[in-house]
Amino acid sequence: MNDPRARFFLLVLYTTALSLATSLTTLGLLTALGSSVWVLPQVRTSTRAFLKAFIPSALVFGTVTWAFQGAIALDAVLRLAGLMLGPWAFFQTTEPESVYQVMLWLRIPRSWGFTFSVSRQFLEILSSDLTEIRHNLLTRGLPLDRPLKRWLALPRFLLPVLVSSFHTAEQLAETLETRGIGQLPKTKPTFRWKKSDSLGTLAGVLLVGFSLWTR
Amino acid sequence: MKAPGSMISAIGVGFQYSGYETPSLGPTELEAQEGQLILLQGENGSGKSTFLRCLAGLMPQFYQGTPQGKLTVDGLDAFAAEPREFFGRCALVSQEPRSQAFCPSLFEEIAFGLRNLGLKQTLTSRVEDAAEAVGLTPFLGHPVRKLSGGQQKLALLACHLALRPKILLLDEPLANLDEDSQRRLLQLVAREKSQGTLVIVSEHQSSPLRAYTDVELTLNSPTVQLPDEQPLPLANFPPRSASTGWQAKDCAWGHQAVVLSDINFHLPTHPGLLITGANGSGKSTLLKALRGILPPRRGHLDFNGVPLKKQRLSHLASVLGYAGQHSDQHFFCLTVKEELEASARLCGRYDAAWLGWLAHQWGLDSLAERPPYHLSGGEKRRLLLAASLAAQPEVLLWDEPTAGLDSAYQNRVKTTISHLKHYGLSVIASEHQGTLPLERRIHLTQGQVFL
Repeated sequence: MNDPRARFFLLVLYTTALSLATSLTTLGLLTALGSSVWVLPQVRTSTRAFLKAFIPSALVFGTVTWAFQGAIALDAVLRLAGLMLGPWAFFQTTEPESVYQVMLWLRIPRSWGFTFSVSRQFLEILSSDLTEIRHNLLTRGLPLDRPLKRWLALPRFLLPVLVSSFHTAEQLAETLETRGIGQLPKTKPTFRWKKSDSLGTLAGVLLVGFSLWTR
Repeated sequence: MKAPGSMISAIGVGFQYSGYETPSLGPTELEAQEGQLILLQGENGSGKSTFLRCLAGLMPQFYQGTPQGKLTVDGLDAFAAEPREFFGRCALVSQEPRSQAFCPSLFEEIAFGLRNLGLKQTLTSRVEDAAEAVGLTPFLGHPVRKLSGGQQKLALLACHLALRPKILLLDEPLANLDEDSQRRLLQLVAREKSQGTLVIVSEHQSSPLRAYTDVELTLNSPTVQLPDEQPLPLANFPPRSASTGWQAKDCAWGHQAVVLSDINFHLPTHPGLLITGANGSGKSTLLKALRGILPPRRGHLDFNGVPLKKQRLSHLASVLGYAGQHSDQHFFCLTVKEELEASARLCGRYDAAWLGWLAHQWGLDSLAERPPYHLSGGEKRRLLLAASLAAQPEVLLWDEPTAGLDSAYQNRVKTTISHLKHYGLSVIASEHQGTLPLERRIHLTQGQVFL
């Protein structure tokens, strides 16, 4: 699919289908279908990061809902998997610039769209900073790698994290200012809709129909 | 009204940041015209970066504080005009490139400013020209954050060069650059100057730039003075174990991609080592690997006969001191004094005489009660180097220890290395220039280690 709008439509339709599904079979099929995004190399390369986010969430949801009934727990985990897979695949396959263009097309204010797309980069910076800070503090002897002492050392870990976040935000703001952020030109986004985009959107509509039919 | 050709007029310009007790920039005078190169010099903490921020129109609207004097930049009152009025006139390339990149690729990064200028037809060619000028054409599709430190600097320079500003402000552009990149940068500075751009460079390593310099401006701060060398204290150093050093077998290292591959070596902890190599050759990667914070993607690395990944990194702090490139990310205390003492206390190696000597040696006495995050870039570097020594480790792993330091403190790094030998400490350091007094050297090139 070429046009980011088509990917966005498919995301909305897939999420709708997942929300409308009531039977475990439909949920299972939709989740299995969602898992097929792993054929895409951009998604495959971030499998570990996805699992890091999914497994703890699934364990929490699954354990909590298991208290009611096993089937409810399975329902919750399948729904969670599907709901995480959709946005994950969308953001892994759509560049921030394209997300920004889609947001403009949806008439979302320009400044909001830009902030959103830059925030994504900022999250990546913050995530790599967290790792770097942890490693650097370990080299200073802070016991962040010892089972119990790490909790006592946590406040000291949070100080550089906080300072680093502010510093990064300040630097980012400075560079945006010096590179003309206040003067974003009011150009209209340009898209190219292809046959594959129509087919993808149609598949999304069919998924919603399937979900309704199996209710 | 500005005089013809006159771009900058600074009369008694000073600045004191909000919350600071003393001004970060003392009264400064400057008259500069188009096509000139102004070399800003001064010790760490003398206000070079602050002056550049003033010239870029960021004070006091962006960084709050109290300005002094009168500063006119290309006809604008720099202390009254909005920062956005400086866009297209003035380009500031800051010291830290890492947090200035926010686009998914270098192409988009360079194109960002051009789009804001409203360019469409010539956008691609301007982006390609800028990337070619800094030698990063092969990396146009790569995210800037994934380039090496030196390449990131050049990438950010390309972003600003593409805008073709009237005034180019460069804050320590040569730090962390290898010889080729430095040569390229000097050519770029010469080209910009010949095209009528006013270039103002803050730099400790002034010698390569002197050939092009029209005016040298030295900033002085009454609070900054190099302390005299003191005799070594009679510190109670712990007895040294019979260290066997590192043993690497078929190792490959790298963050996102493999930077060093098929590495086999036996590296004893003594007598120290100097690691040289071009930007992106893997110097920082190797140091992180030796400290254990970057486990090998393939192969095995042992330290003292035990796999490094099985050893607690915090426990090793009493054996392996480490100072990485980003000083900020090593600090976790509220004052300089606490920061200096922290590692020593955590490792059970508190020695007042040793810590006092370190504070004096690195000029930290007068800064003892200041928060580490309020220090200048050079002061942070000095604090980090001192803190890495506080726990009296056996080996020091220093990544570009002289980067960002003025010439006096660069010399102090060298004399300190000599002093450390008396205590049986060895230093393994990376440095572009290769000037550190270390007997053994290795050169990294294209992911290989040549001993």
